[in-house]
Amino acid sequence: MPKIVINNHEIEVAPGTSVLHAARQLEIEVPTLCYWEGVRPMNSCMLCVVRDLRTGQLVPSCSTIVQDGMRVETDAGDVCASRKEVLELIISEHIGDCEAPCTHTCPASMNIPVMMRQIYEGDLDGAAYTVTNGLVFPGTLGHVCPAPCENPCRRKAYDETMKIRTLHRNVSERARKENPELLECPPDTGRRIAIIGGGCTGMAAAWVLRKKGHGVVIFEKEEKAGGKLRKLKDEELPKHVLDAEIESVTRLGVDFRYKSEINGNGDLDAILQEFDAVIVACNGVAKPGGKIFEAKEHKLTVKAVGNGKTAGVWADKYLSSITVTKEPEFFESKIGKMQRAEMENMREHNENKESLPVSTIDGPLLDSRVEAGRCLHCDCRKRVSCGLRKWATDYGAEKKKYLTTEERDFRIIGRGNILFEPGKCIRCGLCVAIAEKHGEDIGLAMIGRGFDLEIRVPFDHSFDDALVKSAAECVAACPTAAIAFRNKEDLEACHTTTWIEL
Amino acid sequence: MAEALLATEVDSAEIDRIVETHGRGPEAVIPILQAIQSRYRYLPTPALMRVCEQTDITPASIEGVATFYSQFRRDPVGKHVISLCDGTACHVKGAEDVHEAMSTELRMAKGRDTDPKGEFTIRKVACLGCCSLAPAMQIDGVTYAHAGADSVPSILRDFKKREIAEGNGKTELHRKVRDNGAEIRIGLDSCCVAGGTDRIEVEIERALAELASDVPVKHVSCVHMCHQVPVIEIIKEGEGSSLYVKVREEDVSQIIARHFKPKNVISGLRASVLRWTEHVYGGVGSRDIVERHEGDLRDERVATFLGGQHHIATEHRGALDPASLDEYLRKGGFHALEKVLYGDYKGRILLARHKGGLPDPPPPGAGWTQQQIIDEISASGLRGRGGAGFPTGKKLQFVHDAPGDLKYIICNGDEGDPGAFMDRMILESYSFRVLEGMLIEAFSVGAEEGYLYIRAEYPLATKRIRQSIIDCEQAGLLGDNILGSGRSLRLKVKEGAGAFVCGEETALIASLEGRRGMPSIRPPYPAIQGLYGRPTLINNVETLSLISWIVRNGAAEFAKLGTERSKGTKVFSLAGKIRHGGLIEVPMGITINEIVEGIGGGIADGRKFKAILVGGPSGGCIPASMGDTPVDYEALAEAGAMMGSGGMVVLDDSDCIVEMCRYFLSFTQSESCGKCAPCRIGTMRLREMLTRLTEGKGRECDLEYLEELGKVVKAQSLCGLGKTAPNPVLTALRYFREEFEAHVKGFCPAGKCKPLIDYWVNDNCIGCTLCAQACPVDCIDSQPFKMHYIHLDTCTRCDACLVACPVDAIKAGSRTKEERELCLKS
Repeated sequence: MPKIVINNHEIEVAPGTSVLHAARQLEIEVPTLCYWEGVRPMNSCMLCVVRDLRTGQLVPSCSTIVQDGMRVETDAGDVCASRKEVLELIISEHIGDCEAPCTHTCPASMNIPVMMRQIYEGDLDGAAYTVTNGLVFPGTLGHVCPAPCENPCRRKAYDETMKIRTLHRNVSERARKENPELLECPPDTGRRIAIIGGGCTGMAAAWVLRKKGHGVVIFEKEEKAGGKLRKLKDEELPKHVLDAEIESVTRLGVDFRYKSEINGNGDLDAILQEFDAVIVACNGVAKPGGKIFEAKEHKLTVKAVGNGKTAGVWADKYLSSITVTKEPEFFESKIGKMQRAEMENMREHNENKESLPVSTIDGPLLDSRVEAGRCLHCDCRKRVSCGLRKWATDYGAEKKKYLTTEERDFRIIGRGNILFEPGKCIRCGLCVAIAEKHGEDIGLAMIGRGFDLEIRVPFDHSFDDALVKSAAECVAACPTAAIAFRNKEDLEACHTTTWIEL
Repeated sequence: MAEALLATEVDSAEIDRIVETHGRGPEAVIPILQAIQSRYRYLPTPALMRVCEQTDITPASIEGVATFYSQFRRDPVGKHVISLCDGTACHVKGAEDVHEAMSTELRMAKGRDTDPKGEFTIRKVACLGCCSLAPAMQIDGVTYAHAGADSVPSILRDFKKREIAEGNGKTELHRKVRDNGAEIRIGLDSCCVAGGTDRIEVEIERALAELASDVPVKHVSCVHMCHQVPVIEIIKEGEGSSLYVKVREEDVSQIIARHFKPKNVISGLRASVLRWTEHVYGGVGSRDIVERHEGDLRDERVATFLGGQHHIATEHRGALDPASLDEYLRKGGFHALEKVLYGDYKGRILLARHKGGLPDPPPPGAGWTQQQIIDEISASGLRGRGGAGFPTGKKLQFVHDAPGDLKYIICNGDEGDPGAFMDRMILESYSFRVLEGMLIEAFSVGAEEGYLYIRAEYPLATKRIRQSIIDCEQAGLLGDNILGSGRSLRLKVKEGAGAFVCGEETALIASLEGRRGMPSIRPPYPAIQGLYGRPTLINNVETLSLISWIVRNGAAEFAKLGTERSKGTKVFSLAGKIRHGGLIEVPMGITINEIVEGIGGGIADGRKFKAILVGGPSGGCIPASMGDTPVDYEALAEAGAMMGSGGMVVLDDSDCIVEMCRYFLSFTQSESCGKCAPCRIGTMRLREMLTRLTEGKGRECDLEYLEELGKVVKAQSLCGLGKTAPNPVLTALRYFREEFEAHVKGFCPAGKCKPLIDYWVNDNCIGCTLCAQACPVDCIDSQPFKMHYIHLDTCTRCDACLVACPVDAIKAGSRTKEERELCLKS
């Protein structure tokens, strides 16, 4: 049995074992994109390279067979630097949004496309859950939010922007009704947090913390919570909308202490004594530091909610003894602004477009389901399980290192159940090999060569016809979401939860 | 529109016939596609679908293969295909301008490659292998040499004239030929033909017919003096040999008349009358052409060109009839084979053939053992001539030792390096030598099946080798039980389909098996697991052509030549800005300077020697200052170049290194198979950065990125193509960094990068507006009697204004940003 030393750990493996498998047996992580059990190694991504210490060469571990006496290292600085460069090359031609542009723009980071899909599928409880977790005050914001999210909506390329604000306002009606799931909290952690200020910032922080199972007390100097929102006229924001939403915060188990202004050090000291952490959600009471966190108010209500949520997350991390550091920056592939020609291009080549209903009237009469059906699903179908996103995050790959000259490819191919987005494809050929393995009659072909290489169905058949037996495996194996099911999202996290899943 | 008109109906019975001829297995896909394309000129989808119905070939495989190889076209083409060579030598001689001129001449719409009438389709080919006649192009089967941009209209005229002439039917000349010691030798390999020798031959035949002469005209192997073609050599008893170089059609009759007298009075009279009429009516001046074109072996230029050379692979250069097995046998051919089979040489094969039979079979145990052959080749120190320089003896040993009854031998004739054509020449001129080499190697490893994989762009080589195989089979030298020895070798020729990467052995095997030519990781090496998973010996054409010499003369003789680590000789194609280009075979260890200044006669046009590109797109530029670098695998690698397949392109001071790097990267990028990300995307990004530099849009950080990315592509690519693709850039950054830095500043020292060339008007301007009238794009502000101004954003750098200016007021050149600003202020 051949022996191999990987990062100074020796292991004996069965003859014919690859270096990758040997490393996995030692629980040493080696990144891969194009490796899939049951198919021959593709040798495409070259991310799994390790250094063969006998020759000093980088070799792909997925297809290098262990030879007796081999010594390799998997994590040396230059090996990692080399992997990072390759990731940057792959990213340089990766056209797609990890998260939808609307979500990116929303200051409270509400997952808008998920809401759209829930509405479209008739899961209104689910939608209510999504909007309330995202915005805390979806009804209120449905009135007062300037809706920056509607600005970058890609639906504009086809007709007009999605009516996101109207939709979350309509959904919030449902949220305000009894919705047991919405008000569910995990078991009590026994930790208690004081929040100073009962405006939307403080209440947003309270929401997040209750949802983590912590006890929350809000100190509010006025008689009622709501802060600035209370001062708005009824035609701007009907009072009953606000009251109902504050009511649900209360029902979540948040303890409001009205008319309790916190002034001077004495009050604060007492609170610090009593509570495990403090969030300051009003001006000038205390400086952040230690167990004091700050949630900045903002004139834009939605931004204020966002700040409150962030402060809540930080305080929770503090309470869970996770070292509070700067948020790890998740790799985000972004299409960004599209040129007019690009929009036309996208419109022209999107085979999906027949299934998109045209825009309807706005307002309370808007048919939410029809409207939600217009959503283009700009967020990636593998935003959580995408291998490229995972490794790009881990290796800190830079997004725009190289200037490129090729035309950006926005095509969405497929009218049926399977969608293919060439812009997201890394050309590894896994799907081609899997289709071949299953003995598909049509299967997939690699077309062209070099940089212009792409995956296509031979003789212009559809993807649905090409992958009769192997679609599920192809979708699962695809390292990005280049091949995906139209209506199935792969949310099985291969990584820690992203910020968007708060 | 044009394409819709060109689409053809597909006859499925015809497709079935093609399938019948080539077989139904997956490995038949390339020959089937080649057959369909030669019938329809492109690959119509219904035809491919029919093939899938009739064979084991899957839709995925046929679509994948049809789009991988550049020979195949999925769209209809024009009546004629113009193949413009984009090899290195052609590139430095202005191939891009030729492409532009051709597109303009044929009124091609932007982004189209077929003219509106559907008559011509232009396609760029990696290399036609006529490097010393650059720039070259091929229209259908006709090759045109020295086809510069200005000669485009005349080439098209000539082609149309030929087309009409061929339509009318050729007039065949019949004349009696008798061997009386005299002969006229003419080289008829691809470059000679491109240089016009085929037309010269017609003239010679006509002149001889007029004289009623019985002197034979003999086709000989490559003459190597490609810079001097057309070359004819006249051998006459008592007179020795006379060599005529750069012969023109109109000179032929005078040359012939000088050596051969008419057979009878009447034909003599008729000949002289004909010559006189031609002289009077044909408008040919009465200049003494013959004197000017005469050269012989004692001529100094010819002597220096041939002097430093040593011919092993190209033994009997310019004297051997490449198509004649008998002549090959007379000149020592199959001597080595006889030695291996019988243990010694007694001219048995030659003698038996004279008597019209076969020699007695070798007695049992008489010949060399397999190990004896391998030991002999190992002792010679021969290393693979394909580029990497792996010891041939070691490779033979590996294949010999590999377990398995069925083993293959493959001759790698997929010479793809743009700027190298020695393999083509060897296959065309010394096909029997290659076959003899294959026989000996096959015996040594126990292979009984073999393939010759030859590039699609070498039709003559394929034709000759096919014929040679047939000749050898008929003579009992190939096939089963060769000369009764009990040993067999069955050879087949497979044509490539246009993919540089197929020169890589694992990609070549994939291609032979009927797959996309994508390399796979080694190990396992082909020596252990090659074609169809069997042990396979792959050798380059030139390596194979050296085997017979080594066996015949002994390993020690071979090892005497060359340096310590690199033995024997190497054939190079010497091209570029050199006075005497051509094929040269030199002993290893000769220095770059000896080649450039000695054999090549220095730089043409009195310019300065700047650098020499060795090893093509995988090699690098060695600067003139390192001219004493010896030609040796290790020395070249240390200098940042590579032996490669042996292309040498000389650059002078008017060539821009950055632009050359861009050219090479655009070559490797377009030839990348696309399997691994570092090569597929990395070469593209390198190419883009270099393109931006040549356009004056480079960023400071680009040089750093070039170096960084270059190293990554080199370290992480899967196969040799990617692993060597960054070499030209990395070497250039090592020797010519300041030239890159100048480009970042928007200045091209060589004045080659068009976007970096400025045209400006100086104080000499008299305001005559002539320049503005000459400008094709109206980019000159011209008020009469006022100083004119050239708008560089619209200027196409066509030089028309500079030529038109009567007072030398327009200057052109590359300037730094500061100089430009200074000029703008003044």
